[in-house]
Amino acid sequence: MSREVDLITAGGGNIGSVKRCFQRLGVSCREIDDPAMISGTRPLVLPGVGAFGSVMVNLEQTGIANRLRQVVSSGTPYLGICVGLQVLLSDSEESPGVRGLDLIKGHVVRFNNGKVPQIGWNKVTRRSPPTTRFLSERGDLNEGYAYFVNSFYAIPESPDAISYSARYGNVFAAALSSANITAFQFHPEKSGEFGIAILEDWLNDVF
Amino acid sequence: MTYSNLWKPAHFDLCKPAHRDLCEPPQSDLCKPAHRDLCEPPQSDLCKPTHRDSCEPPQSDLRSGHSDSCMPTQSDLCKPAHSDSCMPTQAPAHSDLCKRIIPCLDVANGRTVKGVRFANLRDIGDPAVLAAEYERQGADELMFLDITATKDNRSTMTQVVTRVAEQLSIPFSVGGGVSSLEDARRLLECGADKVTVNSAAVRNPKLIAEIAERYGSQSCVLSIDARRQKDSGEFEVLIAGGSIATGRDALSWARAGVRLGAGEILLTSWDKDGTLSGFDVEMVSLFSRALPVPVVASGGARGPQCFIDVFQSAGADAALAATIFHDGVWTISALKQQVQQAGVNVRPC
Repeated sequence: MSREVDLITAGGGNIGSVKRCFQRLGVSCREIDDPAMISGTRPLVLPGVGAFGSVMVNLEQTGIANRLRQVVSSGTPYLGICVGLQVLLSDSEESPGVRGLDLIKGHVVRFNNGKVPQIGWNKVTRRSPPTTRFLSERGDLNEGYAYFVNSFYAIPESPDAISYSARYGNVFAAALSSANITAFQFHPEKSGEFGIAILEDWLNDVF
Repeated sequence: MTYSNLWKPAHFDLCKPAHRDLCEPPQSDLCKPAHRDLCEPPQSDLCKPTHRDSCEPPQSDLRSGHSDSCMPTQSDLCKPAHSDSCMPTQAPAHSDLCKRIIPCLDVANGRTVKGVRFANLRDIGDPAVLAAEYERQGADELMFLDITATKDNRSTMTQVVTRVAEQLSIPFSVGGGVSSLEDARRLLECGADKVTVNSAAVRNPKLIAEIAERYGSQSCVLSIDARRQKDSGEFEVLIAGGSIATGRDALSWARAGVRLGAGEILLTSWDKDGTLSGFDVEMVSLFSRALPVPVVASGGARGPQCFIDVFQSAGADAALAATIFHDGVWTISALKQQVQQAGVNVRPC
């Protein structure tokens, strides 16, 4: 059976690289811009380029936000990338007053030192021992280098939701994981072999 | 026509009253008086750490600094002006962010070429093949410059970008002849992660703002070819592949570019390009300490010591090279090993 994910395009931005990356991994992407297209049976992918506020407004206006809250709460696998991670939280300093998907309780805040945005490769380290189900126990995924472009990062209320951390002035959440939710602050599709390995592992988990 | 005619001061002095109004959404209090002062043409001491505290706007003003995602909303376009003055210009103390090593591929008519000071071009090979090889060797990112950049050549370059995007799993940027939002759109949609603007942005600075607004600052790299001025210690912007001197000061142009939304500065030393005589450490140092966005050093790379110097002494965030990689003088992995042994944090490969 062919592997297929629902790729949400309403987040705006250039989704081409994520799509190409999945195609190389043998996964086809159904582009979703309408909540009625979300089956709830196919895994969901939300790649993010865009400000928290504009992405959330777009998701709310199209009705995709509510559909996501519904299907992800009932167990549909969700993969978020960059802003696709941030919108999972309750709110963001980037866009005060805008409610996030609120699927993971917590806030998104801005880096307060160093050049912002952070651009480039940073070392990510998996929490040990993992407190939530996240990827397989593959040793080569315990630590690696991933490509980031971000000014903001998530602080979940439960630290157990943090699956990878990294340092940029302070230690921050490089990835989150909670039940059927997996999300990366970095861009696995641009993180060379390490990023590909992480995506492959996620795909093996959800299919 | 003198080159000064190319410069409409209006485009550069964003902080003059008329432009402030453009920058400020009516409902916003982002430009409080204290911060407006910081919009004045850069003062040399604004970035000193001691000023940081007083620079830091109240929490509520920080929110939409540079959006993550870096897609500026309308009002984000004027924010870099504030951050420019307030933000530290170095990586934070406790950071594992790596210095990037970026091979550059000059492309003419679909082939990779290399010259000295933009002339005497030699054929180096198929860009897509080289790109894959450089990723395998451990390149952190790639840069493609279309050095012919004629209209006829555009579809050729689009094909190159498409082929490159199909195989790479690291970021890459494309530049050369990007003169409109449409040019940027075409390249980004073919799979480029960033576009690099140079001459066209000098002639029409609004191009930077247009690209940053539509695709985010992280997608817009401002490339500056700078030539050292005799005696003055300053640097002049050259355009059109180094053939036209603009009379414009390179550092003030870089600052203006950042205010307009450029997410990175690619700084090429015209004096050093292709000469294998080392990066211009003094110039890179001046820029990387003055600018709140990453500075990519370019021109003159010879071997590991040049990279060590430009990272450690000049504070460059990334360094670009072509000749030494194309000629096989250094593989990226061998180079990285040496640089890492000297204590520079690079991504292992």
